[in-house]
Amino acid sequence: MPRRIHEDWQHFRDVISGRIRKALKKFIKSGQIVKNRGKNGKISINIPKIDIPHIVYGNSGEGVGRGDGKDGDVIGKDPQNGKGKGNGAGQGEAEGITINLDLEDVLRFMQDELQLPNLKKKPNEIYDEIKIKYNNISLIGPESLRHNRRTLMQTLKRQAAEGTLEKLNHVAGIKDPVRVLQPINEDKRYRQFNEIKIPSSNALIVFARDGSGSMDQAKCEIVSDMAWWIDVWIRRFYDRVDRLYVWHDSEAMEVDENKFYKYRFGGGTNCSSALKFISKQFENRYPPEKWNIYVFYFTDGDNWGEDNQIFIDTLANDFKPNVVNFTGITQILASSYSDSIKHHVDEAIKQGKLDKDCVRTVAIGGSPDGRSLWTAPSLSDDNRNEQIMEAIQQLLGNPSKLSRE
Amino acid sequence: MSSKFFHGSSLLMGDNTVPGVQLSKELKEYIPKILQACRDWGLDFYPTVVQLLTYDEISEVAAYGGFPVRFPHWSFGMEYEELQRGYEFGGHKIYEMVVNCNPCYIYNLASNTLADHLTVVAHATGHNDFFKNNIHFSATDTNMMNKMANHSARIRNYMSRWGKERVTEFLDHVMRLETLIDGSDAWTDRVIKDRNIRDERKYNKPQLLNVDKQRLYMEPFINTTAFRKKQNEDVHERDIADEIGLFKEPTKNILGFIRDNAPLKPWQADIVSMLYEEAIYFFPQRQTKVGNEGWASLTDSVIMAEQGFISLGQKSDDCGIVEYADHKMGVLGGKYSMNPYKLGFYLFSDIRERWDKGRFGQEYEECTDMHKKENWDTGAMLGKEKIFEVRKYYDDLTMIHEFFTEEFCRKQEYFHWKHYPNGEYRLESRDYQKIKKGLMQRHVNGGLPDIRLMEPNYGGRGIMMLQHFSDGRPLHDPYIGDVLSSIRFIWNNDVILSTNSDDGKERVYWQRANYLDITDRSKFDKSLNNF
Repeated sequence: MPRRIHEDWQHFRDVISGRIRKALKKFIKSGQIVKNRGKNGKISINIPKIDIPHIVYGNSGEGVGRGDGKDGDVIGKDPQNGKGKGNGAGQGEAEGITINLDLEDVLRFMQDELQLPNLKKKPNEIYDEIKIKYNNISLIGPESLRHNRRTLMQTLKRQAAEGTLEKLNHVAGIKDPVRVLQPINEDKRYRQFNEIKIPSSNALIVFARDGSGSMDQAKCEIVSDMAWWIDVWIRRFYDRVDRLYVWHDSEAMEVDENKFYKYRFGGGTNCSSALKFISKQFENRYPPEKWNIYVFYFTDGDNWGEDNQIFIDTLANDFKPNVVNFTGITQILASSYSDSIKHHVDEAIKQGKLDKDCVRTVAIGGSPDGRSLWTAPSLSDDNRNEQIMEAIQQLLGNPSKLSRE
Repeated sequence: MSSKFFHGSSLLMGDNTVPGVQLSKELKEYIPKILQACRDWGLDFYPTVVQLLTYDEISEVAAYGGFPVRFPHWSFGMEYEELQRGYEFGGHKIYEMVVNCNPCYIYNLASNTLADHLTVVAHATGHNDFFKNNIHFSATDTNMMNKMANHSARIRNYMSRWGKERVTEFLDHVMRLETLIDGSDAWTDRVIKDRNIRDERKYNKPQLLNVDKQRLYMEPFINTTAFRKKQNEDVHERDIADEIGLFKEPTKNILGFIRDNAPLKPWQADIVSMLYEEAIYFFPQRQTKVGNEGWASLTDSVIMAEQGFISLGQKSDDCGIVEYADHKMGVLGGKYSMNPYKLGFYLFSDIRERWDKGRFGQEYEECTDMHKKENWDTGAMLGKEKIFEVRKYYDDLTMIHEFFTEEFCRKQEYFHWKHYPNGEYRLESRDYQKIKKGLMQRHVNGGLPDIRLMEPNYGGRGIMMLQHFSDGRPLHDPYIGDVLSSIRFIWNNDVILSTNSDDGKERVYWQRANYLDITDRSKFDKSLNNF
């Protein structure tokens, strides 16, 4: 027997998830979704408990308690996270309700709100596997592949047309004359195979980042958030997704995910080293014929002056459209635009050295209009998440469409 | 009530007054003994039905406020989820639930130990006795269990007739007004009002223009259809205005006023009246939390510990007293926080001790010798009589007012805390007056702000004018707009609430059709004139 409370409970969950779905944009802007990275296709969001509003007294910030202690003793503290009401001292428990959202909802948001187009797989024919399946019929072939039923059916048709079907024949070993089906060569049908080409559904996402000392905590968090969004979106289109994390200062190296976001070292900056390292991986490990490759490079724009040209040359030579699906370059909180990587790459795209569809650039924060900022650039929380959304839109969106707008 | 609401779980009979129910083997011998002990001590309670429930079931009952059948609403589902989560994470545990009705239902958590079971029964019998005898409960309906189930059936009917969404939306609105009632109406409201018997209202008729009898053919051109329609609508409005004209004096009973006078459809009016009745039913529990819990805690401590009934069925050397102490500590514990169980229990214990030793009256009050006062003992032995008197006539406010003495405050180490902007709670002072004021403020009007309907036809515009009689504490601001918009929805006209803000200035909330105006008093007066 279904219990009454389960009906109410279900209703409650519906009310809440309906509210969340409506306000998904708000949750995404507040960065909650990215903070609670989901597993198994679920994202858990913690929302404050819904009270039924009544006219009640507010929290006047004082009250009565009991216990020992002198005047002025600290008897409790606000809970660190969550907006739990400090009704009495010492309430440390995080209030709120955890709701599991499907990743589908987030993807729908990306599709509807950000209007991201579906990713195109590589134009050149990459097949994961070519399977052979006998699902066709041919007139010639080896006897071992003869399709007996089809053959006899054909014989039956022919004999019926010729009028020989009713004819009685004497067959050795049978006393009475019987009707006989006698296939001739034209009647024979053979099984024939077809090739089934299964297109490759492998994708490689390369996340590379500048590891110089100027990439501080805030910038790394932006990298981390963006990587999550990119990952969610690309995973939607491919069965198998590999990730490669590359970190560089003056030399590049492969790191694991943890290190990628945390490692910091104040060495020099040689951006092209990362690209060179990545392109080396294409030779044996991830052959471009078999992999759809997406490269995302994050930097704060500072580079060794002479390296900029090498960077663009490497992009032009080793990251051609038939090698990678596209390359996204994100410049985070650059302190000056005029000599930054994005500037140089944009120039190169304008001059036609680089393909517009294949190399996409985007800037978060900083001064995009070319003026140099003397103070360290920073972003407010709201602004930050909004800019991340815009950046995702530009990176994964349809570049030709965006430029038209 | 039958057991069908608790499929499969065993219904136990407490004291053989409810026939036809089987007893559980383990508790069969003991529960009647406990009840008899309670009766011997002087308690006078409703017949008892003890029921064992699993945690899941007890969460369900607790989410429904103690009633197995309530109307469907998602907020109960929310409570349920919270209780479930609290249990799963090991933070909270409900030992028991008691329902104020006749017979009194006691729900025990089935996984309790025997000592816990018996303690809980003694404790719940204390509640039971309080429900039956305390004068604040004297007007509550003792057949509420059935009534709630009937409400549920009626609301389910409306849901199938008018749509679940629509009825739930209306319920959402009305439930926000549940606190805007006057508890004392439980007594007055039963009286049938005069005007319901002799309806002396004048009937409003549509006012049509006169047509010359010789020229009746002009009628459709003079009193056009549109004009007639408008006049008919006006009649409805004037009917409402007449109803409002009956308003005599400011009232706290805003929900009751809305029930009687708002332009509601029959099913809506029915829902409002049902929720009003439930709110009135729950009000005395809000009013007597400290006393009720204190009385129940005292009962179980007397029966189980003082009279030693904890040893029933115990095989261990300590006769279960350690387990009892552990249980008690869980209920009365909590450092630094204000625990109503604890306050009530110690208040009752203190009253008992004082009246046993004769520490009352003029002579004791005027005694200035502290040493003498400390060892004061006249051997009056009036304690038991006094606590039974207190449980009969007092609610939280009067109880704290009379018995929360300076000695008690100092002995129990009460203090006054303050919250600082850096997130710290600091022990502010041990000033007796401040503590007592803080405690009493929490219990005035059942802990709810005193909000009264001053004028339902403010400025002759049918605007509902509410006034908060402030004692210096600000209202919880974010909720005001929500509640006012709900009143606006039900009343179908603007609502104004004036209150004092944190800085002591008078602030006016004006809920219009689509938005909420928050202004100072002076600006408000101006804008009303221009309205």
